[in-house]
Amino acid sequence: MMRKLALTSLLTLMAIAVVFAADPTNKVSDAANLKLNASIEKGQGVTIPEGVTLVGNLAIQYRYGDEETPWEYVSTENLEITDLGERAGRVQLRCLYYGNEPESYSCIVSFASDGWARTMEDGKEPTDADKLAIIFEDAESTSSKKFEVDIKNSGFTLNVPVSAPINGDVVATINASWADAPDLPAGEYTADIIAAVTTP
Amino acid sequence: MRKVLLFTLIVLIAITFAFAGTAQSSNDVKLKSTVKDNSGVETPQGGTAIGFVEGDGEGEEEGTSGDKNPKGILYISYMDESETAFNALEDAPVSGLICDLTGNDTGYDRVKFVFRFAGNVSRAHEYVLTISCADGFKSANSENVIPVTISGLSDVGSSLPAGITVNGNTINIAAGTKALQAATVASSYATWTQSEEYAAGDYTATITVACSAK
Repeated sequence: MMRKLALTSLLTLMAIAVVFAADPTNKVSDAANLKLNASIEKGQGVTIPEGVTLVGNLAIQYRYGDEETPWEYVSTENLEITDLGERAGRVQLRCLYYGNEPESYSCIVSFASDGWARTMEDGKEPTDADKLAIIFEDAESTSSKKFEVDIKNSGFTLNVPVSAPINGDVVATINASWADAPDLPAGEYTADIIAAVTTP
Repeated sequence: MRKVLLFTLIVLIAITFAFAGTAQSSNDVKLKSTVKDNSGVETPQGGTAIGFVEGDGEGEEEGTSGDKNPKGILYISYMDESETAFNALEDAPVSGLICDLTGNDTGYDRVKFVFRFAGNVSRAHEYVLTISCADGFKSANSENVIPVTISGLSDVGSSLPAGITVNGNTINIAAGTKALQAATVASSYATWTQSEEYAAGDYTATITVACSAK
């Protein structure tokens, strides 16, 4: 008799437990969460001027002339120097940053040139007498909370913390200069200035 | 054992006689009834129950979800993008609701929360809601934060059922409020500034709704 009573009680308790477990009001929480997500694409809000090709996240501009001369973006067109040899010359170069990178952006920017060299006939190599060196000097960084710039020889390192879109803020300037050279042989001279952007 | 049975029999006979005597000595017809818990109340669709009142005190702390058989339950829902359909929070995509931070993409421009009350409580109750999104939208690298603002509760104006008042982040249910079946009582919005001036990246935010009921 007692055993039956005990068994009946046990079954009843189990049934109650099952019923209450199924009760939807018994969720153990008086708080709830809702998750949201969103994506913003690279380049959103960044407007790169038409025809400008970036090197890394940088656009390169140059200016040949006085402070009133407008800056121009580097293009496939040649910059023509009319007084080479007669007097020293200087081309100002500057780097402008474009981007809204999701993580901090770092790069090393370096400028290099083999200098002016005379275009020789018959495929001959120009001698030292046919060359005029181009040096890079007076690099300056632009003070800004947006950038960390560390000037190096012929270039600089750049770190851009994660930020809202940056549309062409000037990061640094540098001068490409050459001396006067009255002894240069007559002829056609060309020079290339190479701006290299290396990202780690 | 026989003595016990005999005693019980005597007691039952005595009770029967007592009640029989009462009925015979009066012509009054006394009526008594009890409105059962949650009588006339149905669980609303698309809602997450967060506030429980007048449970039977069994289970966990009274007034919490652990309390059994509550007479009144507050439900929270988030609305779809057109703000017409109710959704339970637990039914939201695991990856989160897709939101538009720029104003140029598809997705939620804001998230509307709606609070509905279901129940037939006998006492007055107070629901205090805390809706928060303290971290805002954060990018995967946790460097970018876009704040999310949660508005205070707004009642539903003339549609607010009698006996219910909404003030700040509090919803009050008066004693004796008639049975309500998922009556909409208040709403709140989660908003953010849409802009193209945000850094690229994948952002997530978590809105937490906490409810204390007493």
